[in-house]
Amino acid sequence: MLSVRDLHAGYDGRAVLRGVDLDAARGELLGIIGPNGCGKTTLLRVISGVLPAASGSVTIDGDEVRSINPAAMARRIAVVAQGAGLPERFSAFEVTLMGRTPHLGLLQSEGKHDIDVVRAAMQRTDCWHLRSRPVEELSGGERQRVVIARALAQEPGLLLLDEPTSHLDIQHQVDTFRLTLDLCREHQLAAVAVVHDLTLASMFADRIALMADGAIVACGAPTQVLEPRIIERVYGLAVRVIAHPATGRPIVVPDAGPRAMLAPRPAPERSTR
Amino acid sequence: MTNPWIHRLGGALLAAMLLAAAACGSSSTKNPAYTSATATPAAATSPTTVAAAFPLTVQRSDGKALTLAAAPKHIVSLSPAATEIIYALGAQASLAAVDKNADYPDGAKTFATKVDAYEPNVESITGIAPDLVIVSSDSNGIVAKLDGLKIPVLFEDIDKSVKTVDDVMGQITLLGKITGTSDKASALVTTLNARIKKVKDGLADLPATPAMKVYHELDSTFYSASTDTFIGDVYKILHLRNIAGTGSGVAYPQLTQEAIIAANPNVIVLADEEFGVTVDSVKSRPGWSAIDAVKTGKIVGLNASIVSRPGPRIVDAMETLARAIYPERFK
Amino acid sequence: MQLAPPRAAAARATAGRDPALVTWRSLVPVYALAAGATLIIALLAVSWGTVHIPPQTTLSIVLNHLPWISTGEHSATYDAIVWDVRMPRVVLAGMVGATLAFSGAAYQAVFRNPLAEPYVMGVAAGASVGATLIIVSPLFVTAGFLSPVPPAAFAGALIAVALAYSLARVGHIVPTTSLILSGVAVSSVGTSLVTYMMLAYNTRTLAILNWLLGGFNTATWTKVAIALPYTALAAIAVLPYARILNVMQLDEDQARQLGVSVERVKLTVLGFASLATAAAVSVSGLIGFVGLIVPHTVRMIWGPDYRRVLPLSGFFGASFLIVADMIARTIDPTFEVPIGVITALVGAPFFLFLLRRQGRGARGRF
Repeated sequence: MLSVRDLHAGYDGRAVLRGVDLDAARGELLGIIGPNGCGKTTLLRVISGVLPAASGSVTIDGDEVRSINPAAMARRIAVVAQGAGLPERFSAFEVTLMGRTPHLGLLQSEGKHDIDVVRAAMQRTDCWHLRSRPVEELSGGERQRVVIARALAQEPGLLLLDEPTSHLDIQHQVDTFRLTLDLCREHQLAAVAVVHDLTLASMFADRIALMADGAIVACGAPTQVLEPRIIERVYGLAVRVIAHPATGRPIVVPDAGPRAMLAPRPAPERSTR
Repeated sequence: MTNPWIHRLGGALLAAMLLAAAACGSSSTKNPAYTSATATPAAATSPTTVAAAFPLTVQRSDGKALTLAAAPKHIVSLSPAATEIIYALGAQASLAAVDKNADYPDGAKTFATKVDAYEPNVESITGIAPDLVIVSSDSNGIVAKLDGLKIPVLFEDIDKSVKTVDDVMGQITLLGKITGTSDKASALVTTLNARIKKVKDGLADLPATPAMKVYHELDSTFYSASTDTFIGDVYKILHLRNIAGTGSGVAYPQLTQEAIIAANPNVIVLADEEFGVTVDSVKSRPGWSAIDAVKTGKIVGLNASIVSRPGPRIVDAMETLARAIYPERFK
Repeated sequence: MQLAPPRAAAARATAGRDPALVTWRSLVPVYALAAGATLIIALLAVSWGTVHIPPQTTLSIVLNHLPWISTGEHSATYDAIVWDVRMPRVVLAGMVGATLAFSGAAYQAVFRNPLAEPYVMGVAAGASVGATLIIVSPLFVTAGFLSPVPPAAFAGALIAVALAYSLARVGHIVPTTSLILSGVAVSSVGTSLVTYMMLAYNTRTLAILNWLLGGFNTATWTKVAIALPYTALAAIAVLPYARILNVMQLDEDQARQLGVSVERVKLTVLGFASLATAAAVSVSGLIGFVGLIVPHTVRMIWGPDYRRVLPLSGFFGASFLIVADMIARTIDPTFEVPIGVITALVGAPFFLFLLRRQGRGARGRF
């Protein structure tokens, strides 16, 4: 349902995305990996409509993103960002209820249907029992679940996740991705998740897109993308790839042998257009 | 990379500041001009009993004593009232500088050298080399500073020492002694007292307890003058009861509109035309139509400087008020 | 995409109670209560003053002036005092208090900064410059009672805010930190200009100071009529955004991703709040504290939902300033205490008390 073609974008004359091509279908979780500065977050910002594209196209179910107004966008795309700040003294329920904003007119207040949607979302993400607690009292993992519940309450078709678990412990990391994948399947959502952790990406993503220097250099099933030569070329790090004992998915580990340090990865070019 | 434009702006500002500092530095050595024209007085009054009058010792408002060996010739007057009195005594030749607000008579208004009485600049006063400085209100500790520089200061605190019409006559007499024009001073006081007596005589048959009430307005936020001021004394002479009363111990209390309306004064005296207040604007104040003075139209506008300066013109004000309030008695 | 109904039904069986929803309709009783309390305080204030008028007489006079009601004859003096002096004063104090507090809440919502208040973008400094320019000019003497000071103050305030806004703008985005900084810069320039003029024109210093310290002792129905449209307009224009302002308490990126047109909301809310504040300041001078303290107090007591904070700040601000004015005009028979002094002396300890109570709660059970 998401289609990105030859996307160029950047800030203040500095090009970050140089011709990105990408697709994501409903029901699948697409993981985006790549070294720091390769443009992963920028890509998500362009897709969600926050940053305008310099050239190229981004379409959601065939509609160009730049032609959709912000409220309509929010009914189609929900974003789960890293370390999202939540305002104090609002309860988890009230914060999740904010996910209904794109469905309400200016003077409209939330109604019974909105409560039903929020309740379902919070129960699905297992934070309904926290509904009356002020968000500042919740742990990182609990807060993340509230943010995901809020995203669900928007009733989107596309879920964008920007490093949603970098600050969480391993249990919550696994929980979050498990939940995301299940939601994709259950509600036929497309999910695009930017991940740092290659193992997480491998374990949960249906497909992985590897970015470097503002473009996609490899895209496909985890076994196709997480190959030692590709990883070494992009990350500048010698690695070994082993198969997960249970699932067979590729797990990338740094090499400790004599080839451990390769030549440093060349810095990405900076355009001064 | 920082914007080179910012650097150039910073450099320009620094250069400008240096230039400004240099310009100020060079001008500070200039003394304020001292026109020698006033040094040789045209209408000099010859002091008659000068030999006996000096050395002269005067008690100041702060309790300290001022001793003068001879009549001062370079007086800096920070008191517009004192300036008026000195001109009335014909002793203006002894003035070296007057304060910015002095506007009567015309000679004072156009006086060559003016100093600021509100924010007195000790340096510029010293630069004039005065042999007496007359101060009527001690702003910014000017009295202490001048004392420290051993400059003779006559400190007559208007709020403390000049509270009745008689006190005003006392001021005239004092300045007469100081400038060596005592005979002129006593002549002036006699004339003024005669005029005052005429007003008092014209009202002699009025009952001891005044029947009419007066509201004296100093500014558009209803500051008034209590009975414990020289203008309060004028009203006493005019057989008017001041609605501000003793001001609960404050010489210039601020009244509320409702207190004024409730007191229902028969006469309103305006001394605040510089705040845009006129007889008509008072009449149009909401709620004031209930006041007797507004109904009868007994609202008198007075020149603010006359009414706030304890000088000879206070008797002019008294006569103007007498004519306006008792037209049947004073033509 | 719809969340699967069967699961929802099963889950609801064990769900427990739904939290109560805040809707405009559910808040009507709260608004009515607050409005009623404010009205009672206003009536008490009108009965109170340096001249003792029995409360029944006061009420009777007030009712007499309302259309279609007649309660008979009254002493002209009392009537003048109650209707021409006290009523405009109380009404103006209420309006200005409501405006400052309401705008303060709106500013705090947009800036997401607890120190934000209506003067932070330059309204106070701009109004002071406008008023001072008129006071030191010959216009001040010739204009008489229909003073050009309020319109000049109003214009000055708007110019300052527009200046601060355009200085902070980058493209079509106005970052809130830049806005605060440009507001501070504009305010500093304005304040220095006013200070200079106060000293250079020392015959007008007292008049300028009088205006700066603010107060209602020259309140008239005309001033009420001047300020009322702006207050009403701001209330009508900003209140509908209350729910959106809740969403804006998330950071701006999240708000955008939830579909909020962040820049448009900022411009609208700050624009109308500044307009109303400018009008209030132009008829009453600079009264501090209200715009900062009242919204915080309301938030501490009634929670952070702006559908409560905005209107309740309005009512609470009105009551607060009416009471402060009562004290200012009666506590000392020899002069009117500047109302800014009262708001600081009354507001600060109350705020400290609330702060400590909240602090204790945060440290766990006590």
